[in-house]
Amino acid sequence: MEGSAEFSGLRAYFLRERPTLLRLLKARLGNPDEAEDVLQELWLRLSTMNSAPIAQPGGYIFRMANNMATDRHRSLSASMRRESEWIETYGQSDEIVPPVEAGMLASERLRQIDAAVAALPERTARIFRLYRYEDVPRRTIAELIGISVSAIEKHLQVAYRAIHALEGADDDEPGTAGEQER
Amino acid sequence: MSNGDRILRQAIDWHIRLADGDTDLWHGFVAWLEADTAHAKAYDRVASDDALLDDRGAQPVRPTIVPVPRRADARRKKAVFWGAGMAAVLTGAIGLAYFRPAADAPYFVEAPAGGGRQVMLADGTRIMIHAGGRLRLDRAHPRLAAIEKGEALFQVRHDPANPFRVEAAGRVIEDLGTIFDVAARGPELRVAVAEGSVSFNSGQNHILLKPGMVINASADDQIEIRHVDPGTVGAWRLGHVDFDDVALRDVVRQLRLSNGIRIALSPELGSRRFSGVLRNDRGGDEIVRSLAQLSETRALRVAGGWMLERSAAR
Repeated sequence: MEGSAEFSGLRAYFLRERPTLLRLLKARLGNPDEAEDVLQELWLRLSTMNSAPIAQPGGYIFRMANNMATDRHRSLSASMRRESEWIETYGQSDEIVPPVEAGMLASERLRQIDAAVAALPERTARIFRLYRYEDVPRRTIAELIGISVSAIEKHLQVAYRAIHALEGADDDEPGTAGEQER
Repeated sequence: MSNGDRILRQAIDWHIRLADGDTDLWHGFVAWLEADTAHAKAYDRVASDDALLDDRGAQPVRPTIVPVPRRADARRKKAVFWGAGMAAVLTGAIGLAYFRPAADAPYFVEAPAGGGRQVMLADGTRIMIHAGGRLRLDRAHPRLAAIEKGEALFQVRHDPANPFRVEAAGRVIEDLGTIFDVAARGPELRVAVAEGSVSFNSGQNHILLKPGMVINASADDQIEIRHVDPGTVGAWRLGHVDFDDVALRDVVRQLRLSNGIRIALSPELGSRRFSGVLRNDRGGDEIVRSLAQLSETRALRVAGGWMLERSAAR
């Protein structure tokens, strides 16, 4: 199949980027063993994946690794939170608290996020929803709304800042993108 | 600004840019993470919140149109919703309903004339119905939808063993893993593909459609294929349709298929082209008025619809 060439392309990317992928996972997870675990899991996923053509294989693999780190964090913090609440209440941790607990915390946070988005200027909220809820690519949003991609990014910054209750969420200063060392 | 805020801002900037970042950008990000453990903590906050939005599947959504019976079961499989209710919030015109009719029988979903409607099927397939459109669904055949009239955008949960099929205007469209748009009224049909591919079958013609391809089938099964920017397929869900130098007769055809507005063109307008943006979340009269204004024509009411003719004076 012609797809197998693409697959070996992904694998080649993985092998070439492996050291940086590992650094990414170590930095995000703060634990070398866990980073190796996730990297191994990533490798397994890549080898069982349907080999649809991918536009940017490098970015794609990094994104996968990064998402897996986020998932790891979330399940970890949920289980830690459950554990500590349980210990506070009952002084032991050998029972399992129903997962509903974590779900409720998540839904509470989601409500906060929704409220923050709803309070944004209409245009900003619309762009954020298109981007984040509808998965419309930035370039497409830019075309639909008739402004530049970088203007779209400004709106997204404003939205994310509002979600994280940052001061100046509604100002339009360029933010820190330019200051970052790349 | 406090140092913590500054770092959080940086984390947000990274997160936005990484969404379509190349390898170089990721290398820069890794260096930033390694520079300070506070960076990783801040980034984790941003990424975790964002991931929360991905699996809000279990969250109730706010329908803006009359809610239909919803399954009580709140805990569904993860992330089947994509981001349910978004369209609703975004134009205020599209309602979302998690559809659960009582009996195993065909049922109909109709979008009111002034606004679209979104339907989520049990397998995660999402259908956005254009204002005034009507679909037939059947719980006994969950991978089948029939367009009675109008237009709908399908985001199909792909299953190679059990392809999703759309019946419209006597033809069959079969998903091969994809997002596609179908508009049908009477014997006329238009299919456009945004992502993946779709197989089109009219009995006589069997065609594989790729992203950006639009197929127009007329009453006598004349087939015409065009190419458009795949990003524009289904863009009507944003509440407006952009025409860029499109033949006026094609605009009229589209309004007939998508909105059910019948417009005849007077002969001298046969070769006229049109550029402009029409709101499609408005009533037919208002759409025709905008079209006339933007195309510098005059709209006359005739039996069963409208007639556009060249404006008398300039």
